[in-house]
Formats: sequence, C-alpha cells, structure tokens
Amino acid sequence: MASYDSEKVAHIHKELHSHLPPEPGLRVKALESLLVEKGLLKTDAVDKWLDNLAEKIGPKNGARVIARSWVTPEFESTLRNNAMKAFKDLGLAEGGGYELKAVFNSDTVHNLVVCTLCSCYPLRLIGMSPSWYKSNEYRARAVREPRGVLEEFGVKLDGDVEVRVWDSTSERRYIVVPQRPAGTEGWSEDQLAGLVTRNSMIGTHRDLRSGDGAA
Amino acid sequence: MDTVHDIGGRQGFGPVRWQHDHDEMAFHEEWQARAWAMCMCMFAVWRGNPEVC
Repeated sequence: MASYDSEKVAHIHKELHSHLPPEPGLRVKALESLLVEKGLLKTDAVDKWLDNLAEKIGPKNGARVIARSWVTPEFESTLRNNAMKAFKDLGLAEGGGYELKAVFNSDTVHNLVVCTLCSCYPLRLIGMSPSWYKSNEYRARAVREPRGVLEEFGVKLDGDVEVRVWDSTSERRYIVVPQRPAGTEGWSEDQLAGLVTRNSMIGTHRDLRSGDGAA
Repeated sequence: MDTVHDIGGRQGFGPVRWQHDHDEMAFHEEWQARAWAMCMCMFAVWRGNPEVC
C-alpha cells in the first residue's frame, strides 16, 4: 500500500494554488487576458457588454412598459396578448429568442415567477436577476410554499388572494405586472415608471409605493 | 424534467436570503460584472455568433 503523507499532500495543494491570484478580481483579469490571447475575445468586448447592460437593458425597461400599460388600455391589451411585442413597440427588445408572458396582479390574484430548473429570467429585457432568484432556497420553496416565501419578502396576503406561481423555462419567461397604486391619478408615465421595482416584476413585492422604483 | 437540477418543491431549505440584494444593483464588485460579460461572450461564441465578441 502506498504511503500517504498528509502534510506532503497539503504542501503540494498549497503550492499549486499559490500560482493562482488570490483575489477573484485578479483571476477574472487573468481569464480575460487568456481569452483575448487565444483569440476568443476582442479586447473591448467585455466593456461593450457592460456598456450595453448599463445603458440599454435593466429593470427600468420593464417599468416603462408597465407604466405605459397603466395609462393606455390598448397597450395593456398588447402586453396581455403578446408581451414581447409590447417591449418591441417601445423599442426595448433586441432579438429575443424566447416567448415572454406578462401575468397581471389584481385584488384577488398575486403572481410569482421562479425558475425551478436553473435561473431563466428575461435578462435582455429587464436586466440581471438578483442572486436570490438563483438560490436553491427560492427555487425549491417558491413552488412548495409560495406564501411563506412571500412573507419573508414582507408580502402578506389575505387568505382569499390566490397565488399563481409561474415556472420559467428557456423558451418561455415571465414578467409580473403589479397593480397601479391608488392615488396616482394624473401622474405622468415617467412618474409611474418610477414606482415599479425589480422585485415587483418577479412578484416578491406587491404594494408599490412612491420612491421604491427602478426607473 | 426529472433530474438533479429540478429542485422545485424539494424540502429542507431555509429562508431566502434576499436582504443583501435589496438595492437592485446587478453587481456589487466590478469583477462580477466582468465575469458575467465574459460568460455572455463565450455563450455567443458557442451559439455561433462570435462577431459580438
């Protein structure tokens, strides 16, 4: 039987790791340089993606679509029937590659979106999903005990409010359309968009209030 | 789908830890953003659209 020297193994392990930069930032930098060197990545590609994310996509796009649907009945009907078209009509959708369904909250219905398989999310339309959306806790429990999960987010529902949970796939993703808050009659679309939060478009936030928004 | 990836409804998980992510920021460190952008680029290469990268 071969001898096993745990101290020697620990030493080799440490030695191997000592060649890697300790900070994740440095590792990412090293990886980026390597990809550029191998011709898989142009030098400015990462910056371009990030500019695109910062300038063109993000929760505020969803907020604009929702605000428009609050003030324009025809647009609300487009959003109900063909949500991707609604985004396209406002010039906010590039490409796509999946179907988008908008699900509407009401006094008696609350919608919640999850991806139990992985992390499907309308990223190119409303930006990055929050890290908890990808967590095992959320993915497993959103379908087993949605009311419990909602309470953890501070959403307390009366017993007669029905909860509908929508499980996303890479082919079909969802956006929740929250209810327009009372007392916002006469508000401009921009003001209304300012009320819509990222979490309200996932369904972990229900009652919108002034000052909460993503726009 | 019935695989190890499908954890919908699986029991035994604790509370959703969302509080550290309530500020709606997509990334909290620059390297996270760059790692994400690299993944998106490699995804595009894999799908046969290397021109975006």
